[in-house]
Amino acid sequence: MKQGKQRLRRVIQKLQPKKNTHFFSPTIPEDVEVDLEGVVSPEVLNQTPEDVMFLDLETTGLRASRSLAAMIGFLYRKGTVLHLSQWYAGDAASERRQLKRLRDKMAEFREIVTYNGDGFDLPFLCQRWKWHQLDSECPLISRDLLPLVRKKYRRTWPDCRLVTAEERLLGLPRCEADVPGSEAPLRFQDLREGAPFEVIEPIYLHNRRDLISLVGLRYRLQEEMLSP
Amino acid sequence: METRPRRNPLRKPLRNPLHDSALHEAPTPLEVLSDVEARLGSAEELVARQTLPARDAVPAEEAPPLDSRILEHLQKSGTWPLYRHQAQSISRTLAGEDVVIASSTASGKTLCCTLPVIDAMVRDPGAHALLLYPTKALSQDQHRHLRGVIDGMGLQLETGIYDGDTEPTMRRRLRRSGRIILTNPDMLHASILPNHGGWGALFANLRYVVLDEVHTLRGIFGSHVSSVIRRLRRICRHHGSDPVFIAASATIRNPGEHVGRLIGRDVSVIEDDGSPRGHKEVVLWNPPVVERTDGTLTRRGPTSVAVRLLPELVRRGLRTICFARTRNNVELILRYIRERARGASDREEVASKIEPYRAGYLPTERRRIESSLFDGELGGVVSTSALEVGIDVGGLDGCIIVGWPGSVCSFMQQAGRAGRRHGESLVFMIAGNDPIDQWFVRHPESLFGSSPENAVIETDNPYIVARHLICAAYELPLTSADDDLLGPGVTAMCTVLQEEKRLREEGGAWYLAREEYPATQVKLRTASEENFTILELGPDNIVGELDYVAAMLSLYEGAIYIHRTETFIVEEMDHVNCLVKIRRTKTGYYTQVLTQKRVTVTEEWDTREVCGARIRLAEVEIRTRLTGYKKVRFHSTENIGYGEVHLPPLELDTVSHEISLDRETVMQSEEHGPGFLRSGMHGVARLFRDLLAIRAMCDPGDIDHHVDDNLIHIFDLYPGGIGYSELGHEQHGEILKDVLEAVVECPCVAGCPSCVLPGASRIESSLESEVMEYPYPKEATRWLLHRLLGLEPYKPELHGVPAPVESPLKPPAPALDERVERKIRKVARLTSRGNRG
Repeated sequence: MKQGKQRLRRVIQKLQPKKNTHFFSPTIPEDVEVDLEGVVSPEVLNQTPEDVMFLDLETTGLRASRSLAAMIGFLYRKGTVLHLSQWYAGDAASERRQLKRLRDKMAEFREIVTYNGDGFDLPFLCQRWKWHQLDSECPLISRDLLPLVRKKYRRTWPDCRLVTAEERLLGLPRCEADVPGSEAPLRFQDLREGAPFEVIEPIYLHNRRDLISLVGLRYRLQEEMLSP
Repeated sequence: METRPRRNPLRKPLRNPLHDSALHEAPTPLEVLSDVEARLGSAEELVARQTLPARDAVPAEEAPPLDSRILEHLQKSGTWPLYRHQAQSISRTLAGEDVVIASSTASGKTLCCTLPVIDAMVRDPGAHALLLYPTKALSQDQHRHLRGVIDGMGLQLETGIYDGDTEPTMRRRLRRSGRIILTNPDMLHASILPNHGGWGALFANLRYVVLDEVHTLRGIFGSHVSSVIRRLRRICRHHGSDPVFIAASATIRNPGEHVGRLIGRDVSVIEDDGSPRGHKEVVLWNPPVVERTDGTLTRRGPTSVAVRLLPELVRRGLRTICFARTRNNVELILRYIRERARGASDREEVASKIEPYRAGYLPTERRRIESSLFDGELGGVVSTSALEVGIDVGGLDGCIIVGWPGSVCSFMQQAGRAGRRHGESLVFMIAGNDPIDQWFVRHPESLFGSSPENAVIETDNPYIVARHLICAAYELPLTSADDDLLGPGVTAMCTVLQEEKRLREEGGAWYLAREEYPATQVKLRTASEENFTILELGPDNIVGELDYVAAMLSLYEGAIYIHRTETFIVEEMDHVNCLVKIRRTKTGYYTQVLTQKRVTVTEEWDTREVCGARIRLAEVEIRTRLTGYKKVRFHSTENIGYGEVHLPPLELDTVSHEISLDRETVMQSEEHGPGFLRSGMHGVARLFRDLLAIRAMCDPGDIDHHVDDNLIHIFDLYPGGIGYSELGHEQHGEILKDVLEAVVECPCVAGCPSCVLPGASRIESSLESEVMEYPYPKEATRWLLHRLLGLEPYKPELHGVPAPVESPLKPPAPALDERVERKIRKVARLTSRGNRG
């Protein structure tokens, strides 16, 4: 059988979808790498070890089998500042690059702090790693704050969402402009289909806010544990 | 034979719907045969007869190591002991070998597939299995069997059919907790594999994959399925399972090789058949030559023989299946039977016990016919090859095959439909006028003695592999580690796909370059999944459904659609809603579509000079335009008029072996008068195709030919080609020698449908009248063959008895050149828009 490159090329050209299908050139947000100063009190900062990573994923859906980790946000202490990274992935190929980088980055840490990470973020990551045929075991010790909060405040609070914990434990006001995390998938889709960066900006802010809260929350819960 | 008792006392009494009283004893099939023989006009009509003697069961010497609960159940349900081949195959499967069981119809292949599966379920509460059947009907039938065994054993197992008809709630349930999933390759490809994440439990614990009727997985469909199975194995590996394959096949020549290529690794073959078989008589019947009203001679069609024979057999109490080649033939046979029966009450009663069965009926209707045949309510059924595969219709006493079914494998399957484990059965093979049919009449020993065909699949056809690579990239990123499953060229192909912006490389893995669901763009079967629904106006009933191509060729406006012997006229073909509206009407004719082919070469692969011509192998685009239809009178089959069809052309990209006659050949032919060369070219083309089909061991329907100007095209009827025309290109000279032999050997004088004239049973393209009317096609073909073979020039004798010709009618108005037509349409559309604006 003729297997020439030419033949294959023509085969593929014939596989192209109809010409009238419109293709978008989506905005691809650049990776965020910033040092945050003064977002937490010096006391909290000092009590945060440098080998702890705070992680929050924004995904395009709840099922890891058919969704992407569209944005990986994580935070760690670097000397006197908190370093925030937010990495965006618009398709599977760039997701692989980000997940690979994340794995490499994780080697620098010992512990990972999340809110409902055992229930969602970490299994999601593992499944995505597996899908990409990368090493799929999480190398860090997981410290999920949700079970701790739930254990303690389940009976007294109306719910144990992160915003509630922020409000009640850290005294942060409820932010009106904040978008719920459940809107992220739709907004990511809009972005992929050509919407400007503005649609996704609230998600970035939301993610950043959640990560900073995690730092405070970890400190508070630790305090409470030591002095009940 | 003499010592054999005339009546086997052990035989179950034949259940005869017409002679239902217990006192009446029906004649045995052999008595019926001698009766039929005695009533024949000439003894020569029964060309050959072969007896397949009864054979005893060969029981297994020792039981396979199945779970004791299963063995117990088998003993209780009377399927004990197992036959030798069953025990062998089950033991090998349990030992973890991939197995293919190739044995005759009704030899108990189903148990070989299901028992190991149930065994795994019983021993391991986590085990899962996937059972693939080529058709929905078959999975329904097999699910009933499977449930029978499982319920009989009192097991609690979630099983179910997952196909296009499955309800969403059932789908969720099966995904969550189904242990045995029955589906078809199309569904596996388009729904299960792309969503493998949702099927985690299945793929992580998949123990067995059952492939039933693997002989149907050949040609383009088989090549697609082999890619799907490679994708399946890749997903299993990802989830950490490595299932064992169990394949069941009808008798084919190369079961081991075929299944090995299909699944991509070596398999053990079980060909031994230990099942018992009753006495069977196979009769080859060549209908007599009769005189037409105008004095010309013609061979009586196989249809008219079947129309007489089938009611006779049913009347005598033989439950009979009659296989016709086309859907139209099924309807015609039944219609003629009913017409003949009209007026005589006993005949009418017989005719009412015969039902038609074909694709195009509604599933419920098909189920009803299957079950009433199984229950014995029906005395006979007229079917297309749709009833050839494993649907259990119970033991039948007789089988009539109307015209060569196209392959030895099909023939054996159809003949195998008749036959009980004990007792006699009859098979009539009625020869048509096609060259292959008549060739078997001249060489009956090859009918009985020839081994079945190879099942051919092409696992490295780039058209197919490239499509599945894109699907595979959706499921999991492609890496060089996939070479061992998907084929050694994966990396190279991915690079090309990347250049074409379909894939994107990232860190050594390839991903889809854009968001899409590629499986929907890839169809495994050439028959489109788009279905036309057929609606009867008046009562507004839905009477059936037909796939896209079949609908285009038979449901154009003005066509006569025959449904369960009633004639309907097609009033409207609604392409938007895929709806065909028909109205009941009484006509004395049916319709046949006329087509016109155009071949355009897109890329030349190889070319060489031979005597009298230049031959080349090229990639071509073939457009078939439906130019009109002709009206054919019932019974006499004369043309009584033409009509127009307005439908878009059917397109096919394929590979063609092209014989382009040189100028000298054309010039020399001119001295023999007009029509001489064209007629010769048609003769060579059609015989080349038939004899290539025999050499390539494929169905003649897989190859087509076309004659245009000084060109003869022989091409694969498969998108992308499947290697037949390449074989024709390689063995050009040898095949031409076969063609010459066939022409010389044919006893006709000036040419007949058995050699150079177009076969009556096929839908022929609308031939120019000069070809149809040319009186000496055989001489012309011989002359051309001598030229092409470099033999000394043949002197044609252009006088004497001319070949029979069809009475010419006024042909439809010549079609416009497509380009011109397109321009005109464009203008028309533009102007109409202008008016509105």
